[in-house]
Amino acid sequence: MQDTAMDLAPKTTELLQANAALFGQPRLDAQDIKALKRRIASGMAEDTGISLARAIRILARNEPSEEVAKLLSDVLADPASTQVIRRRAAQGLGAIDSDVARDALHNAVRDADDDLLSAILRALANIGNRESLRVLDALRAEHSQHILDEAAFTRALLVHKTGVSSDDADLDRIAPKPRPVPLRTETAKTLGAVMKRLRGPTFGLALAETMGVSFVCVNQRHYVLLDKALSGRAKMANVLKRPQIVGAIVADQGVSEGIAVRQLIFSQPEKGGVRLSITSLQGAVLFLGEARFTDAGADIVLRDHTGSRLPTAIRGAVTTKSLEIEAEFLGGRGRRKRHGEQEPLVR
Amino acid sequence: MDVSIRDTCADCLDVGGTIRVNRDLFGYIYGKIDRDLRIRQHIERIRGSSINISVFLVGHEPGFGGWFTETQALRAQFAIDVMRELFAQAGVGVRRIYWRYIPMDEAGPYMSVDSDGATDLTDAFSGPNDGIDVFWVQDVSDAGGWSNSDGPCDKNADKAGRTGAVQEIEGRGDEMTGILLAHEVAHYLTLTHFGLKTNLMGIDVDGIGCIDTTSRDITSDQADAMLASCWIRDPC
Repeated sequence: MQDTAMDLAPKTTELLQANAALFGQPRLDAQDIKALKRRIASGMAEDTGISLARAIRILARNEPSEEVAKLLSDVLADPASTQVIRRRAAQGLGAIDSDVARDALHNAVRDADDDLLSAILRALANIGNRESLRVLDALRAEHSQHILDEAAFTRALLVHKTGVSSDDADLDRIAPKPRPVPLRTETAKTLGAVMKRLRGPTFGLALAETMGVSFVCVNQRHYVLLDKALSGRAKMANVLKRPQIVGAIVADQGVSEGIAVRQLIFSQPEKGGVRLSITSLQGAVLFLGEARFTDAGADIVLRDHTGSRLPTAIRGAVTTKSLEIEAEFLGGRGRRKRHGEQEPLVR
Repeated sequence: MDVSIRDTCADCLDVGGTIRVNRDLFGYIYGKIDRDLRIRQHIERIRGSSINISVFLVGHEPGFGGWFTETQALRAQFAIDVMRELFAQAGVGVRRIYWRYIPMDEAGPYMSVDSDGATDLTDAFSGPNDGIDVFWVQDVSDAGGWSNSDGPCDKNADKAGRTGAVQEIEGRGDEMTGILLAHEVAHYLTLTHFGLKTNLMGIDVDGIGCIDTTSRDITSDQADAMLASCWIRDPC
């Protein structure tokens, strides 16, 4: 039996040892590349002590050629190869921008399980073309959700990359369209009723009953209310010359709990206007933005600061007589750090 | 100074009641590992300057209904014990192990990760903020593992970057898996690659290299750097 390591340089052999960890991207000389191709073509056995997975990765990076694409296509199509080796072959093909590589990936989509399919989708995201879109169209719905999500992303990416016309869903995935948040301008009568049911601390605010808007969040109606000082005759710019609590968001928590302040709206003067923030009662900053003064009052802009799952932007105008607000969900999902589950074996 | 197991569990690990040494003192919840565990030595190590680690099994379900097998969980414990042995050279204990897992329905994109995927994984998940996050995945496609040199001290900070070490659980023997774990966590504790293969941080002088089972040494300068990291907990 031929020694698999004999035709590789000693340093390369060392880097390919399965029980070692490699750093960096080694550049191989022509002889090593030739030797690696031969070994991969012959199905280099793992029991030689050399990592075939690593060999495939190094080869694809060193020589992204049609010849290597053909070699890796055979590995990808070989059901006798292990999952790790087939994944690595798909990843290697994703680094070779050639029809051979694309065809191999397209052919492998149909019978790939989720783990392999994930590698194929990422490879196609890099080198895929219009034909890839047709292949992805045929993807069956019985794959797991994360594969369907990855496939949708790859599709959207290829739609943008190739310029092919597509339905809105693909475009929307990359740049989701904002959706308006339903807001309601409340009457003085409703606001008066709200104030009657208001309980708990108001932090020194004297909330105006004459102007306010409401929205529903988590099945509770919330009311945006401003301090009375802003609805008086004084120019708003004068009122806001110092840091102030300018309003609150109160929530209707049901008959037994009544209505209570849930969030506070703060302002701090800055050049040309004021900085605005909306915080929780525990001090978490939920929205950040600014107000710029106009002849009639102030224009406000606030943006979600929480990475919430429904990131929201708020625009509006405040005068001494009215509060007009528009808000929209910015689309997509914000991302909040998750913390996993605690292993129940822990005490 | 002799200190009891019970006192150490109470003082350093917040564990009381009936104590099981393997589970409570060492933190090896998945069963015994095939290593010589020395209680007195371990107590001395974890009472001194130490780190805590949050260990995530990515794609695990209790009872091993996910990607993780019992053999892999035991390998993770074995690797931690190897890391404890190696870090003892630097006077750094590995005190608490917060065991976490990412269930299958959330782990999908992270079965096989590359460097970008590793960053994405640590951006999506983090453990208690007083422990260095270690994510075990099934496969790292472009290295043995990934970590930051001098990892951020607040994993929850905005734009903190890669906030943990990510390592593959398959592909190497138990001992080598432990050396690689120690290597990646040492990165997080500020160390960069070195110039000798017998050093834990390994690497050859031409910038392309590897570590193997001989890569175990930590120099006094490296030890000082590790001990100066924000991740070092005070003696308890």
